[in-house]
Amino acid sequence: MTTHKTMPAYMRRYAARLLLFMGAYVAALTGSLIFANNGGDHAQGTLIGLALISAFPIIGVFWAIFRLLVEADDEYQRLLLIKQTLLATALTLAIVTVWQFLQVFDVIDTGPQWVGAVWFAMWGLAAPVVRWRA
Amino acid sequence: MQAKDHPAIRRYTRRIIPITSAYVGAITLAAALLPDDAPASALTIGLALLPGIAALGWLWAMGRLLIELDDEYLRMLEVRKFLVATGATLAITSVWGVLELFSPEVPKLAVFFVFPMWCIGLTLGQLVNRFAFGDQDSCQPSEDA
Amino acid sequence: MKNRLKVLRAERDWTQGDLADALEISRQSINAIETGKYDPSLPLAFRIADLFNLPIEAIFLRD
Repeated sequence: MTTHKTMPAYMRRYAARLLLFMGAYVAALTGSLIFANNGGDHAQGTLIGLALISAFPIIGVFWAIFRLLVEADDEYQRLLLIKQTLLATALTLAIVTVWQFLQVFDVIDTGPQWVGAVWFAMWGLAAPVVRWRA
Repeated sequence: MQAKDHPAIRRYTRRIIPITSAYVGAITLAAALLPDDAPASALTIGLALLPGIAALGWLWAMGRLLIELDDEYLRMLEVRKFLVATGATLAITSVWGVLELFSPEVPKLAVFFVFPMWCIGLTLGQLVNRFAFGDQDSCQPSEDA
Repeated sequence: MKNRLKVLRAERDWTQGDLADALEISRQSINAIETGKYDPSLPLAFRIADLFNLPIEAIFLRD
């Protein structure tokens, strides 16, 4: 085998998609926010439209991760990725539960728009955990 | 053996039912007993904690299900359900979050709903198993019966 | 992956349920393997082979 040092095709596709959507997210969010906050009042429909444009790349990032699970043709690597995803979900749901307590007791006052961010962080955290001694 | 008769699935059901009853009961009780401006006391804090403990119990029961389910195909179906539920929850909360960011009139989604949303996502996962991957539900008659 | 499970079952006059019970897995799993929707792991494939007293490659066929 001469290709063992190059990234497998599914990882290359994943990396390309991730870059694309993250770039699109930054561009769409800054662009839309600048537009929304300048030039006076905008109709509710315009704002919702802008929000959906900004949200689209986030969905794209999640799509890229789940496509990675589907396209990984190395079954052992896929197993590790699935374990990583499940662990991230379990940690996120546990954190959300604790978060709920904090909100009930008025310690923090922010909604679950950060659930996705928490999940990303947990996905990163879970990566070495599931591969430890794997 | 039918899938629903698998010991791990039966144990899961036996665990989920009391936990869910406790969850619903705790929420009903908390909503009925606690006025919105209730002062923090041992009772109010305890009532507010109960649903969270039930949610942790669900997580535990689902983790045990994956560990105890020794039928590899059924386990794969469960894992796929969990993954679909996760994808759906991440998509919904993210879109909602950005909507809140842009428009103050969009009602704030309570953290409280994330877990139930994920559980609804499990049903979606079941539909994906059935229709996208052609799993024969155990409730259907055997092909060779 | 193609397999000969259905034929092997028929030769022995077993239902999917009989095979499932012998392997201690669900009938749903047998059906998924038989129809090629699920490829069993090596340990399960060996259990199936042992049950039929056949080598794995006499049951599961290359595409």
